[in-house]
Amino acid sequence: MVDCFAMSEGSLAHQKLSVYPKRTTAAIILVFFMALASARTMLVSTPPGGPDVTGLERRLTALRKALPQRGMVGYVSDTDSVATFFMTQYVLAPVVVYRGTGFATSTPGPVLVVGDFSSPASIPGILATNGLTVKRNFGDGVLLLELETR
Amino acid sequence: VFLLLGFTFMRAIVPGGHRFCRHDVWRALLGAGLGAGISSLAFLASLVTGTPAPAVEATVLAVLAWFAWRGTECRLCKAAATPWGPLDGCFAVVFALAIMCAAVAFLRQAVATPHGHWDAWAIHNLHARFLYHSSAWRDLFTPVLTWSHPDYPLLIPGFVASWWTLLGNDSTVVPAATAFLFTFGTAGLLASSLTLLRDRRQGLMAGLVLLGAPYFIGVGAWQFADVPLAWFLLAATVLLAMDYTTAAGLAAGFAPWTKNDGVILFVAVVVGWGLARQWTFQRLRGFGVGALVPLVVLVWFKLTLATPNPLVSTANAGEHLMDASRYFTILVGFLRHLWTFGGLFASSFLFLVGYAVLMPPEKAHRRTARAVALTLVLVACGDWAVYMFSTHGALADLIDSSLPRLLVQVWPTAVFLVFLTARAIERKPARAPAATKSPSTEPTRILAPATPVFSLVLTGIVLNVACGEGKAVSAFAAPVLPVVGWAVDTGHRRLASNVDVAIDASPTPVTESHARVPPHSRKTIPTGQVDA
Repeated sequence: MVDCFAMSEGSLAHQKLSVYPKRTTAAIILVFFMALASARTMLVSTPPGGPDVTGLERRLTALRKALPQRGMVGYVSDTDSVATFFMTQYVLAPVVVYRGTGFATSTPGPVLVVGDFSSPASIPGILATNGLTVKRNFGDGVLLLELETR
Repeated sequence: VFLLLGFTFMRAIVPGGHRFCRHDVWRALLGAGLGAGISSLAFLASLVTGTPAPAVEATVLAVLAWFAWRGTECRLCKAAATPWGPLDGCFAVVFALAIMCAAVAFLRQAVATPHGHWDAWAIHNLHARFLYHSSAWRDLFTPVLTWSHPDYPLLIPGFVASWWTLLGNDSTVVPAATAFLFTFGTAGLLASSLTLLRDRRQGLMAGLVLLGAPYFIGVGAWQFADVPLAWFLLAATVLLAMDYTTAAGLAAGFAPWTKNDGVILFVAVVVGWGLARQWTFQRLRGFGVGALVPLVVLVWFKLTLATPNPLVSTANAGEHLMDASRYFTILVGFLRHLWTFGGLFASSFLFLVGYAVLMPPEKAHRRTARAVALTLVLVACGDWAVYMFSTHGALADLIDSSLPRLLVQVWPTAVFLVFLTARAIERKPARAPAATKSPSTEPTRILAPATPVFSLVLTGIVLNVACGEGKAVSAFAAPVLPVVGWAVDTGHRRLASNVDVAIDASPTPVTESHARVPPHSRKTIPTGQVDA
């Protein structure tokens, strides 16, 4: 074991290194070094996170069950986060989520709107502005709303 | 099912006997990706026609099986199997460790982001959810979802949705497993193909270099479609290098069915190989037959379902062409991302170039290498053109967000190119009969210091990561590491001594390099004397 690392002049390891062309030995060492550096980078560094899709999916589970199997619903929120809107679409698919309520004019029947709020204080204002009523409250800022008038 | 589909297809294209042979691993590695593509087409056909997907797949499988059964012998098996040398063993151990490290990193990322990263859940997995709920799948192509790029082809969503349909739920494990399949399938395909085309050492070294770019593993774990695209480019290249034109056509045809960028790869493969290898009409026809089905489905998809692509437009083409600042921005972007690619302290391309300098190209496979190089250049030109005509507001931002992933698409093929032509890893030719030691033990001693050291360091890293904090595990690791190092060291020494015996008992030289040593100079060194 100890001799494996002995590279002094005249040692067998040293002699045998000379059996391969120096360039070949250097190339092997280069690749091993790269693999080692890569392994270290991959294992030591913390994997980058991203938007919390799982958390949102958990929040919207009950809402998802209350929605129809397919169709289009509106979306209102008190945040301007595009990421949250995209994630909402992902979680609620195959229901198509329209940002706002502008699609309602061309949709027959009751118009459902998903409400996702971070602050309870902002809810009354947004409902009044868009002419929405609460159909069901799922808690944690998640509401199923209905458009009152067209 | 997809594996069976792909494997049977490969058996039909690259005939084998009625029994399994050693090349079936290579066929399975190729078949996995191709099978995923065939499976996605079958699933889409089932959505459109209303026929159950298993029925479509069973029909395709039956046809392929009939062709595969006609094969009587494996052409590849005519070449004698190269025996495992000690150096091969060392490389294999290191490659296996590298795969394990990459797999651990992949799984950590998959646990951290089970739905994948941005593009994965916002595009591919979202599309898969629409396809999975078959009654609503056409709702995907509403203009309301333009932000999700409904014009993107459906190979990955179709394959994932087919699995979800089979399982009966939309588990996040399926897209992650698909990403795993393509990420590590690329490493396996690269290593096995170079083993066939060159030798085992080149294959394993190439696999190590591929895994040496952590960014490649990261993009795979994020479930981006760039890694499957890289797989299809590599598969097409490998199959063309081995002269299986029809299978190469299918692999290349699946590239534009994976992602819009795949159109560039497909055109680059056709033009690059067509020009460099001076394709005849017959060869082009063979390639076209393979690519026909995915291309026809793609054209149908683009014409009837997909929404227009908002990213590229020729509306301001003249203006963009005359804008010198765009050329400068793109050039700087290319140079900067080539310089930083890979996720290491230095560019992974730099390591690759370093290897190519140390092991300069040999004459063998020169024509193939020329075709692959031309393909890569054409891909770069295509990407350049896309940036030139992009309608994206901030060109520099677009380059920063997309170019690293475009480099991921060509990374495996670039590695393949270098190792296809690189000088073989061989001993110096023996100059005089005075060389008295067994040649088979020499590589062992060269890597004798390297393998245990490598194993020790990797084991240390794995243990540290597994336990969260290096400090907590150091007390445990201290006695374990020497044991692991001793085990690896002893293992490959025994392997070396066994091979010595085998070689000395063999009446003929085993390898070309071995044959250069005069028989009278061969002498087995007892295992105990290795460290003497």
